[in-house]
Amino acid sequence: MAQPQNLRYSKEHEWVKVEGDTATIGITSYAQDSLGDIVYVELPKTGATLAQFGNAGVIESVKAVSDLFSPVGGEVIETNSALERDPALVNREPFEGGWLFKVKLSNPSETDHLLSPQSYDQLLAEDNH
Amino acid sequence: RLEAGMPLYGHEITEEITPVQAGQQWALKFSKGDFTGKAALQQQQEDDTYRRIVGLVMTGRVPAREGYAVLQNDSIVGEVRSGSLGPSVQNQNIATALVDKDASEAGTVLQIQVRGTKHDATVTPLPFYKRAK
Repeated sequence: MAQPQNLRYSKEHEWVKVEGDTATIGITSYAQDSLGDIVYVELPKTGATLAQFGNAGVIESVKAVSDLFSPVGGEVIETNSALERDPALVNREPFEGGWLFKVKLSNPSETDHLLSPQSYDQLLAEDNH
Repeated sequence: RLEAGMPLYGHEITEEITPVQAGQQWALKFSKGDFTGKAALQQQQEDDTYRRIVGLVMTGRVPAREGYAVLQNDSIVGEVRSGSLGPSVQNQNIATALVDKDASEAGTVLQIQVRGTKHDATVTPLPFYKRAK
């Protein structure tokens, strides 16, 4: 499965898009597919400070409650309000309209700890063995 | 089956939750001779003080999961037994819960505690959905 090439990935199946000092975070298509129908997303509050790989909220599908982690640290500057009305947007457009939240990076070098699209693909391949 | 108000063993009926509590009196024939548990069930039915299964419709969208506490005026009056979105009932956020008799009347507003936050839910007669005749 080819991953979008302009993103970085976490082992928790989140993606990060870095633009300047702003990072947009979402979950990968593999993650939404594994979760199944998403019915509720609990996002961090705007202004909250997140630690890299720290807890950032909860995603609930019909079957399960899953913790959401922030792949980068920083202050939350925006959350995707469209998901309050339509959480299934994460299923339909995980890499686009289904983004979760944006943070102002506290330490841009943290993205060095994330996976490239190729490494993430490799992780998925290993997981599926 | 949740929308239709049907109990599922392990959820609305368990070793601890009797058919009387689950509102399944139609399946109990006290006139039919003796059976295991008959006296106890009959007694429970007559006393009418038992915790019972009710339907709940939540105001918000957060799913109610089995085991979540049900509160009234900040005291625990029961627990969620099943929960789901109801595609046949305008996608309402529905659940069943085992609650005290005093909290079981239709229309009563209770709270379900989800990860430390309270969410309103209204006691609703079961079933949530009935096929049009």
